[in-house]
Amino acid sequence: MRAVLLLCLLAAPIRAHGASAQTADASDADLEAIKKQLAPFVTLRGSFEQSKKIRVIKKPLRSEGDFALLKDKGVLWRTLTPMTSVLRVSRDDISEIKDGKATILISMKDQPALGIIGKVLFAVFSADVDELKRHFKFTHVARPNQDGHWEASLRPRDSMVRKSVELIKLEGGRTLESLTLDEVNGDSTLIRFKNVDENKSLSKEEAALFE
Amino acid sequence: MNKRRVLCLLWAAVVALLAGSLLVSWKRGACFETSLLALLPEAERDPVAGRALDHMAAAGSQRLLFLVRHPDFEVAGRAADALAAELQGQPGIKNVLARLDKDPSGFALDFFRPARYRLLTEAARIKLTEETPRKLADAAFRRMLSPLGPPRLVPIESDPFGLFSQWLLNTASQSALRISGSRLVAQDGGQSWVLVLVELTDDASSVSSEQALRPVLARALDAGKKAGASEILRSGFLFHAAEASASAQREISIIGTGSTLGVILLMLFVFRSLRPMLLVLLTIAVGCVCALATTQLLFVKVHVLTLVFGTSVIGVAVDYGLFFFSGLFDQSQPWEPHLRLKHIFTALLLALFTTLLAYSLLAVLPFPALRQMGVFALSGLSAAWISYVLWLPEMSESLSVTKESRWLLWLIKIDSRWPRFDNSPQLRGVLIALVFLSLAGVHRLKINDDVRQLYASSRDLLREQERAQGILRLPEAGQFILLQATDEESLLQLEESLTPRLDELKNSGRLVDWQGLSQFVPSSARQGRDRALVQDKIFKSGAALDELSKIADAPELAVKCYSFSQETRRHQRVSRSINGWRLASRFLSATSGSDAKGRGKHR
Repeated sequence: MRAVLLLCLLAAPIRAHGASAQTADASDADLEAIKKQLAPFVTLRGSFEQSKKIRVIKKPLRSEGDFALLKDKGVLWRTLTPMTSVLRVSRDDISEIKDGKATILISMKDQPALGIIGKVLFAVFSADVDELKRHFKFTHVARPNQDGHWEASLRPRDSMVRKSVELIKLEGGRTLESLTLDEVNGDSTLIRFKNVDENKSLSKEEAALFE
Repeated sequence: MNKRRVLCLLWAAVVALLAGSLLVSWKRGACFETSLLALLPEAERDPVAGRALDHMAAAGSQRLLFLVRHPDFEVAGRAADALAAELQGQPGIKNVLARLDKDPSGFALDFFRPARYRLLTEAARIKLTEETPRKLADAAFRRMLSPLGPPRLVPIESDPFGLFSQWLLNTASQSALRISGSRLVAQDGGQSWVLVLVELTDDASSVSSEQALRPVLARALDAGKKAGASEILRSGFLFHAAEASASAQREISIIGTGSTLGVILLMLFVFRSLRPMLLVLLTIAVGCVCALATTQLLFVKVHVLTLVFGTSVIGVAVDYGLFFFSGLFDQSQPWEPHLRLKHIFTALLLALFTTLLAYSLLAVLPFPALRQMGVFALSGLSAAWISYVLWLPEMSESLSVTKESRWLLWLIKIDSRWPRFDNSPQLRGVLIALVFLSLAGVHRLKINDDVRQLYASSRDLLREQERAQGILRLPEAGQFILLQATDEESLLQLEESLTPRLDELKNSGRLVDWQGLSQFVPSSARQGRDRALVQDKIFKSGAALDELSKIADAPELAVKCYSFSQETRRHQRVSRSINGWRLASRFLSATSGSDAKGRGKHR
């Protein structure tokens, strides 16, 4: 599940992206191999477990939920425990969904400073390795082994993002299985994905949220 | 030496002096102005507004920008670099910005961070006022858990409720520009444009440096296109000025050469002798030199349009000479230039005065460029006239009475048949009909006081400019509300009392957008009120922060956040100094040249 890469992107200050420094990048062949390994999808759904370590809080904050992703449209990120919240990221905005109604948290139009989110989001969705390479340096890539398992570590290229995001680790097979986001300030988020299915389509209500 | 001779020599000395001053200032590179704003009326009623406008105009005219587009961002960036490389270091160009070396967003963050508990968006203010601590804490906890949502710009213990991040993002979004890597980028629909910002030297808007810049700018545009840009938009005064001065120069040379040629031919035909023609040309030349020198002395920079207009003075000045030399055809007495002058002096004087009177109207108008034209015409005509009166009789003594040429006789014949007012009823009929036609026409007259029409900017250029302004969300130049107060604090408060109404207009769609100082630096009073609100709703015991740490099962969070928020030493108000604001806003938004809009001014 490649989409989640962007989730951590979003947790970081996304006001700045892109750069062109080319050092110690993993070979394109490795990335292409991962790209091939990833299952193509139109919709993707699954559940997640998240454990977030915040430096000033002793116990990690645990949460669980599920997500649904519609290619080229956006993602629904639903936290179920310890509290319910539904977020929708679309091309135009990031909204909180409550009782079927959307409250816009960030509008890409009002906050052009955040407009890049949409771009990165959909680049990640369509496994646009080139777009990812624009924003990240792949510091470590392990090609898919016999079981199809692969790993990749990414460091943001942009100095602004680098101020908060230290490293992103991705692991997966046909889909993304886990994602670790290490922040410069010591916070760290681990998200594990389970039961990821690229064949289940969205429910009518869910699809309606992207109309 | 008689008195007349002395006067002649004196006048020659004056002309020589003026010509000398002109030469010196040209050598120094002082020159012509092409600024469109010189055509605008001075805000005579409000000198402060005038100063503000001048200030903005000066800032605006010294900036150019290019927007470079390509579907591939990297290519657009490379094209921007290529374009910038052509401009870098060229005369007239002070600075070219295609990449950012420093981290401007970090600068803004550092600038505002110390005041983070004092800065609230209007939305946050309403939420804090209206919602229960529990609801506020719920929202904050959701935000803590969610990997999505608004970015957090400072650590959680510094801003547990994300209020500061929200404010900073909101403030940053005043500008359409974003920082993408080391580039400044503006988004337009699905397309992104890379910005290249060019700062010009102070004298770049003068004609000479403008001419030097034109090929440089064209080369830069070429370089950008060659490097792969699919489209490049240009915006800036200089482009218009460059085009305008090119067309002005075309006009000057066409009108100037045409009328001079006409004068030469006419004089040759009529007098069949070189001398009257040369003498008339001499006086016209003296008139032009004196006019230019006087205008330059009075205004320092001569506007190009003054020159365009000034060429018409040639036509008027030539009349005096014709008047004088027509005595050559008087067969009844021998040619005595001094006598001839005496004979027509009163008429000449009257002719001069009426013309001067008409032009002096221009000289008192509140339009700087028109005033220049007035001064130009006044001094030029007077100088030409004085030269006629003093020099012509002395220099035309050797001429003698001649017969009219056949050509001239033919003209006289035509003249004798030319309809007169007292003549036929047909003519009266025609005149009356014309009067009625004009009256009907007057009805349909529409006054267009858009000075931009005087500038023959090509449509392409105007369209480019409009698109660029749209993409960057820049305001039309010169639309502002000027506030005055005795000190900065009351100025900011005054602005804040105005902003709800501006927002209202914006929400009702009657105003596209506005920008003001208090958006970047709220008044001390507002910062104080917001700090009190934050203290009351979040940090007070039992308020939202306590709720949040309960929900998160982390009592240590509240302790940490609280102790952070109470460290007063580090949480000063945002510097109220305008300089501080300018620095900050420069990075937040003014890279787009927008620091000139909506600016308050304090006395």
